Amino acid sequence: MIRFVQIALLILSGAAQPLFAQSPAESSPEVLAILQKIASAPRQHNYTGTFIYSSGSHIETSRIIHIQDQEGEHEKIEVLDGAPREIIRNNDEMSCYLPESKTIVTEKRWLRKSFPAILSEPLNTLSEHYSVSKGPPERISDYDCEVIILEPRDDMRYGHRLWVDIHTGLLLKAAVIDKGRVIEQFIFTQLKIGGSIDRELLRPKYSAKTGEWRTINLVSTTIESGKLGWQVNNPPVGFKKMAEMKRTLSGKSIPVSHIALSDGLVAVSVFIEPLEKGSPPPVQGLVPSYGAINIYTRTVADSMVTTVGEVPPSTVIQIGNSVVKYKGK
Amino acid sequence: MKSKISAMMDGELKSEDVSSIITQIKETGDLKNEWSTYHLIGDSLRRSSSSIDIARRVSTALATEPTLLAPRTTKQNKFKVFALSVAASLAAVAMVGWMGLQSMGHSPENFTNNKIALQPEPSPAIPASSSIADPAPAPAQINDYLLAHRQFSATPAMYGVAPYLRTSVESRGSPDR
Repeated sequence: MIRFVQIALLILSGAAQPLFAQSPAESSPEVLAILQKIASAPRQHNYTGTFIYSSGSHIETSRIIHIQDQEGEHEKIEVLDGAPREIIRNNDEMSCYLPESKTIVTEKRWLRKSFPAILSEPLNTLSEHYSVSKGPPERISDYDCEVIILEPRDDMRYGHRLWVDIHTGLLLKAAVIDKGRVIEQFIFTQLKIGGSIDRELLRPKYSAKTGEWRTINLVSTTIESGKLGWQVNNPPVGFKKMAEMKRTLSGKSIPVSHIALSDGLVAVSVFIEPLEKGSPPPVQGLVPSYGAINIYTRTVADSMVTTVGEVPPSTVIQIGNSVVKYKGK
Repeated sequence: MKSKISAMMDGELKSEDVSSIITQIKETGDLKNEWSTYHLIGDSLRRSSSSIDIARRVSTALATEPTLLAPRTTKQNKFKVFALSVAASLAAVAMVGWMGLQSMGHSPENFTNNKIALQPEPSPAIPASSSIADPAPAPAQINDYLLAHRQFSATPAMYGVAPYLRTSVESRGSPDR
């Protein structure tokens, strides 16, 4: 019942009429340049700091050490509240140490720089669906920040606000906004940019004992060329297919089909997985979640289709409902 | 190595490095996959969004470089981009959030209660929502989905990948669940 209420509320909020309707003026090149700066800043600056992530009633503090050298980016994040957790990242490779369960979760990302390079100028498409503007400067963690406001032009997406250090372009605060209400945010509460950082700080606390730990490799990805046999035939305006792929997920013998869509800022993923024979069919509907993420499941033919994205519930529902088996050309 | 491949695609690699990379790509299956992945993305972009200006420009750029083994000039990189790079730079943050929630054994109730306190009365608004996916995707599955999704996700909202509270808790066998 509780979950029902929660879902109903999510839907209700998604169905309410939006207030935006700003004139679809061109976003200023200056603002777009700041956005680009955000993207490249972590590859140019070293920093250590403490940040807070909050979503709904959940608040969590973490410490971050970020070093950039000839070999790329190195990063350690320690979660300071609740169960101890440590995340080590070296470029695209991430390892998360969960000492309580003696587990290491690893993930290798394959996209990274390649995507933006291919995508060329998504900033143009960005301003088709968001009005991008600059707010008055604000001070975050003792740094003067420019404030970038991304206001959705329709109710198929959330609003975003970014606080960007004027000098380095580092993102010091970010918030996701649903009709004036912050549904998720992250903010640095203490930050030191530049200066010498002891590399020892990057060392994981637990790695020496990994012999007795269990390792879970979360995402092993294989890509097959184009023909997935599935397509999204009626996505909300602005959402375009970025890629389609098959991926092997943990504990699955059959690869799962994955279609990724984006509106230039946020992404929505559609996963299609054949149902196992004999298992009860999944129930169609929104899956409980919170923050900006919404998840929607339905059954199509013999497959379960799950749509995931940082978009309002109505958007994942529309995308999920427009997934069809593709009969070939 | 991957970073070199992407650097090459970005046209950021010196020419002497390029030829050695190409040789390595030819010889290594993994790298071949990597390489084709990048191009698959490019291909799907061209196919799926040919109506928009940006895609046309990308296609033009690609068409003028038929082999794609030739790195693009750095001039074209000046529009190097926001969305997915931000994703990369924030990914670890997302991971933190996700890990955080999965280890918060007793929090689902807290969360739900608070959620209710914050919200107005329930409404049977949209029929699709009224059946809540209860037995639907097994918990571990959702986590995998979220993580797989995360790498495409460009917004700060992706720390929201974290938020799949209930399944996360179950799938990692937290003592409270």
